Amino acid sequence: MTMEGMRKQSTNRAKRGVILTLSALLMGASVLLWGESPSGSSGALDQDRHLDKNPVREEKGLELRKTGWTYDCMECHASLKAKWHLGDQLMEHRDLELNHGSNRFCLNCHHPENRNVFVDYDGSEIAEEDVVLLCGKCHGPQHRDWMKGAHGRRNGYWDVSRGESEKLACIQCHDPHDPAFKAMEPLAGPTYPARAAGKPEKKSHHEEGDSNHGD
Amino acid sequence: MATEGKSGQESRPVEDVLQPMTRRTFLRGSAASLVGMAGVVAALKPLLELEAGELSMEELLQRHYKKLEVEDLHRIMKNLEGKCKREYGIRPQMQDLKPGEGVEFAYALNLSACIGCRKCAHACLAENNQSREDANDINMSYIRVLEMDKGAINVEESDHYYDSATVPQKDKYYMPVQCHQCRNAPCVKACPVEATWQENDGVVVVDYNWCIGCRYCMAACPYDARRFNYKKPTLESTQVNPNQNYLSNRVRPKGVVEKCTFCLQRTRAGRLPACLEVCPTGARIFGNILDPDSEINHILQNKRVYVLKEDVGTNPRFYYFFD
Amino acid sequence: MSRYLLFLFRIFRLSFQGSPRFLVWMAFLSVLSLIGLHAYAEQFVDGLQVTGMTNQVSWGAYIANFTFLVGVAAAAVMLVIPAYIYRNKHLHDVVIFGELMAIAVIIMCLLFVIVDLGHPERFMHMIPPWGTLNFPASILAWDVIVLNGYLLLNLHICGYLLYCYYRGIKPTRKFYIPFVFISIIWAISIHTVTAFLYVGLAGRPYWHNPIVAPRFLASAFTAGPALLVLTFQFVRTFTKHWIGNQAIHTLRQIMTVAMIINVFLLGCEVFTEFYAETVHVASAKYLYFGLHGFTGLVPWIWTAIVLDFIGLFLLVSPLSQRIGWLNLACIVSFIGIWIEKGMGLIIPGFVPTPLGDVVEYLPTLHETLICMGIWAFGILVYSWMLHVAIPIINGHLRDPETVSK
Repeated sequence: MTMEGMRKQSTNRAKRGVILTLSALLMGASVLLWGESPSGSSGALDQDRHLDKNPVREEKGLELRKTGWTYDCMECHASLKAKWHLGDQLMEHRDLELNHGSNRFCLNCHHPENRNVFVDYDGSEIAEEDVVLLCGKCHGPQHRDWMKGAHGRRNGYWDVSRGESEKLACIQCHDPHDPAFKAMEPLAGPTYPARAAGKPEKKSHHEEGDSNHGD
Repeated sequence: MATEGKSGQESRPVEDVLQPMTRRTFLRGSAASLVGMAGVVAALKPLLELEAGELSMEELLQRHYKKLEVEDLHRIMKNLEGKCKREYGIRPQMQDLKPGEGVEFAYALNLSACIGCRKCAHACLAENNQSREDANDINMSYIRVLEMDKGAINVEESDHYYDSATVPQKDKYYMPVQCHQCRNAPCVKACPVEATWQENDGVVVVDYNWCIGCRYCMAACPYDARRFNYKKPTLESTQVNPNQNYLSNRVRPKGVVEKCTFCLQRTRAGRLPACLEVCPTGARIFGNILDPDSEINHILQNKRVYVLKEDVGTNPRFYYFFD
Repeated sequence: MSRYLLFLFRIFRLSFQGSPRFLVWMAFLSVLSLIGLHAYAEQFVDGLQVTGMTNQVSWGAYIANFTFLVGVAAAAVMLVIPAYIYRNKHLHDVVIFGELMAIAVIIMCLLFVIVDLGHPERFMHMIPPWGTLNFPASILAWDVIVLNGYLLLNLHICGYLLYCYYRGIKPTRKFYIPFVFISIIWAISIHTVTAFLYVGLAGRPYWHNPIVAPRFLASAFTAGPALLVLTFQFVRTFTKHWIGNQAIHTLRQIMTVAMIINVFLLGCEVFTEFYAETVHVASAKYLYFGLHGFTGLVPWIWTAIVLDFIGLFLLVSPLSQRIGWLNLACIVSFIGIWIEKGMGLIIPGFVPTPLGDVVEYLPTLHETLICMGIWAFGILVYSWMLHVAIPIINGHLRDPETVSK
């Protein structure tokens, strides 16, 4: 090999070495920054992508805040007075229907002066993020059960020494103006096994006149 | 004097009972044997279609889970990870989580809150890698949701197949049933090879590599909680949950029994079971019954709980209550 | 030792020699067995999905046949009691036919269990010290022990006696009499333990009652002797080995008493289920009248009951003293009890499920072929045993050294 060739060879080798080192560094950095540890940490993958853990009212409630909506109610209500009864709305809140059982008055929950907060029995303010205290004003037993984990769903960890037990706020499942839990479409049920004899002709057992309920 | 032989001949001397071996009889005998052997080979031909690696010496010689050394178990789990990759396209992370100290699991279900939406039954499948023909096939789910008539607790009149437009229906209430991890489990007593047993945290587990598939445990269970793999599980790679545990949700082989394990791949890591985490009404409560501050203890202390089929004496760890 | 090996070799040669009718019979049974084997090979590869069993009805034709045949195996030693306890000399000659039948039938039982398993190759998981046998908690573990023990017991008794006849020496009493008496108790135990498989399951109220075990025994002691009565006549016709009427008469008496008890216990069961209609009656309702519109088993059970009553009437009346009517009684009793124990006991235990789900069951073609194959194999084994045992009993097959003395 000529001197020229040898120099070229060593340059190429050097180039290769630099490229390899840089890639290794980059890969290591990316693992640290974005990747998961190679073999599971405590055995639990944090993205439960296969499970639908969304609360029922995921679009409403506190999520509005997260989309960046400033939502300062006083922008309008500084001039418009608060009302006890829900009457004809001019522009906003036209879709509201108050269907809260014996709770018939807006100002039972909404603060008459500061429309950004809710109101307690003595007229003091309940901040928006403390909405559960508002519900707890009347629904004491549910509030107590909710605190103890007996009402509403928990997510995350039962062993609070290893992770958080996440609660949902009341309004993430119950629409405050129509709180009764809404009926849902059930997901698909089991089917009569294809292999078994005596397959019923009707698609489901839940039909009129079928002898499922009493002989 | 009675004779041998069907032609009704007279009694023959003993030497003639056994015909002498001549060339003719030898050839006839060999031809018949060949035909016989060919018949046996033809009968056994389907065995050629056994998948490679389905019957492995290693698995055949594997010992009971409780007698395995740690290195053996790790090697077995690595093999199973490879098998899952080959057969279903996803390499899982398999672990063997042990029961925690001072932990005994219990589960409560609020029948006033359950609306019968079946999200729990579907989540169970997504979490535990059971066989399914399509995304809506929940026959192997460990949870069965029963639509019950109000006014009684009569499972005989229940409907498993309800498909009303919305739930809950006005005159019904809904009761999901899954393995109760009974303290006095009839299935544990019934198993002839001790392939199923109760662990220290109360979960009744199955060693799928030890189960012989006799299904006596299924006959014994008063809650119809167990499922059998009548075939090799069908599972798309997108449906495989890679977070697997040796004794719970790894993909099972055909011919073995499986059941709810309270999602021990999650709960032994401190997390909540999949069925609980998707319930939209929060009807499910789970926790450590030995912890006096746990949610489950709050239920047991403050709500009127009952157990299903109490008269059968299973003493379950699954409680129902109306709120 | 070498004489014993020669004995075995001569048996081997004798097995393949016989009249054309015998060879055709054995070939026919072999073909049926191979068809069953082929169907089983497919089941082994594809899994039990080729059967009609489901998560709801998880035991079917295999366990039904197993349960029925354990009863037949137990009753096959029925002759032992009058022969050895009551010293009925006439029966001594034919006791061995009953014990040989017990061997063939137990082999069928073991085969039926093997084909029902999801992993038959893991059978050694049951055998300590390698495996773990859940004894004494699991009744299935008990069943494994008593069935195999019964097989060994009868193999020993028959093998020893036949070898002694072959050698022309009088059998030593201490080598077989104790085993014969043990086999009486053991025969009762195999069927009681099999009954306890079902009785012990508190979650299935149809089975969880004390009458199941006595009914098992009563029906077994009808069906077993029925099969023996029919078999003895085959032996008379096709082998010209004469079996005296005394044996058949004794069997008939046993059958009559057992059938009376069987039908009485059936009446007890029906009354208990239907008089105070609890929720637990669902399985019986499904069986006799249908449940929630599912009526698959109703024609079967009523046929069985009719057959049982015909059999009972024939047995009790003087008609059955005539061999033709007795044969009819045996056939109808055998079939009636087979239906009762198979479809009438196993399947309704699973319908409805403990959660009230109703799923019916019928065996598929694969299951039927495998069942047929095992029955054919059992008959093949028994035919073979008779074919080699009768010459020995008659004195035609003898140890050449003894003859020459």
